[in-house]
Amino acid sequence: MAILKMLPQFSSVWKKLSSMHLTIVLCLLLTADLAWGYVCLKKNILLFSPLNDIGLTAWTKTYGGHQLEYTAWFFVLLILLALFCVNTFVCTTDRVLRLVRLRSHYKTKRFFFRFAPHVMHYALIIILSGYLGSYMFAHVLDTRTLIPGASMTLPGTESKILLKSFDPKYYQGTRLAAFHKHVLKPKARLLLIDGEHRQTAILQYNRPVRFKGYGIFLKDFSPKKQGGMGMKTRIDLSIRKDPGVFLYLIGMLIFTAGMVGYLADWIFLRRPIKDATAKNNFAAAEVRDHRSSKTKSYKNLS
Amino acid sequence: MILSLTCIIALITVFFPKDFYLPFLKSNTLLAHFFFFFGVIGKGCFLVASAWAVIGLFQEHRGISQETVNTSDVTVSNSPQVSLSAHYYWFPWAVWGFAFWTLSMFSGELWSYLGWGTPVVWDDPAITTTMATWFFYICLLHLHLTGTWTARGRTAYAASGILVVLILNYIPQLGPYRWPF
Repeated sequence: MAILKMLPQFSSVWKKLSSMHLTIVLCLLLTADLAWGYVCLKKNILLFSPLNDIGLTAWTKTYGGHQLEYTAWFFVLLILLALFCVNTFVCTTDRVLRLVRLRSHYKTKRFFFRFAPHVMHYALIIILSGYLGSYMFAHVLDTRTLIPGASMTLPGTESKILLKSFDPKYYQGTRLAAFHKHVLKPKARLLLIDGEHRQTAILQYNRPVRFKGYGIFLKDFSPKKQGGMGMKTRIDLSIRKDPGVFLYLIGMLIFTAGMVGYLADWIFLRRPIKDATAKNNFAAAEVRDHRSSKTKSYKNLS
Repeated sequence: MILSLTCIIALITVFFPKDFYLPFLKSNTLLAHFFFFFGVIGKGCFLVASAWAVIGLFQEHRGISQETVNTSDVTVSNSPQVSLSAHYYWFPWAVWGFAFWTLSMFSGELWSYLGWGTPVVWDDPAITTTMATWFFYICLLHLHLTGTWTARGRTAYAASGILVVLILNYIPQLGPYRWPF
């Protein structure tokens, strides 16, 4: 805060950026922009699908930059989110510093819970930074097909992934005839080879395998049905090295913790006081309403 | 009012069906169900909050509840008093709605990461309307907790949530007209 006093210009910018009105305006603009985005996405969904695979920079140069009538909302979204992050950081830091200065005014438990909204604010910045990191620096190998016994080398390493076998679980029931003998749970047994070290891993839908900093995801597989059409066994992998994952997962965890803290503070500490005040006032209001209606009826009678 | 709203929405979905909660191979995880159910609860809470706000505005218009409650425990800058009937009832629903909506979004993102390797899958345009609703309610909570705008303005904003939820989250889920019988 001493820096703010020393630099009046910086102080003025800081004050403007910490404005709650700016937060409100940004939230409303984000809502409107995302609603516009829905219309654009609905019209041209294929334009955005490569964004996760080729990254933001390459996407902007190719798909994004050439169809601005459908993608302009996305660039506006990026600008608004950047401003929202700055506003959130300045606003929260301002209030946290004030809270620390006034710590003697609060009981210990209350003081701790007063931080909950600020924890959520910082967590949101972490989540958005994670997304940005993911879109800027993720290295994606999309659709790498493996057949049993075949292997592939992870880029930049000597490590290999080998498909040992594909042992899916099939639907054996009779209640859903359309699903009869269809795969219910695809299960691939991989051999992860790192020099002399060998390790077996099970890859399934929603259960990726992590190896040498890469996330290995099951994208597709064949055959889909037991003994169906004589299709050869294969699995399609999506392999990603994503530096943003850790940030947004941690961010989500911190945000949830902050939200639980806020709800606990609201339910157990703040709300009982507010309820009591409100109920008393409400009762008083009802008595007054009752009295005034009685007076009115007396007047009508007279 | 809430019952009428529920009946109207249910009736509309009968005549304009799109799809139903059909499981697919990647939805074989608890996160997929959390995403769906937390979302439904969140939307329900938002609609109830809006209904209370509409009732509050209506009562205020008729002059039924002119009593006020002092919210000294909330950071209120320019309006120290708020309408009792409106704020006292819609605010908790908005908070719970926001909490469930956030949990639904996080469950969806986690599911998306584990299933597709990325927290945002652009194949479904509904992702933008989900985020739009989230920012709309962030705005509402900030308006209330910081006391920005007048109490009436905040209640009117909460009431307008009904349109946001219906336009952004219900209408996109409607299919073409089909006679159900």
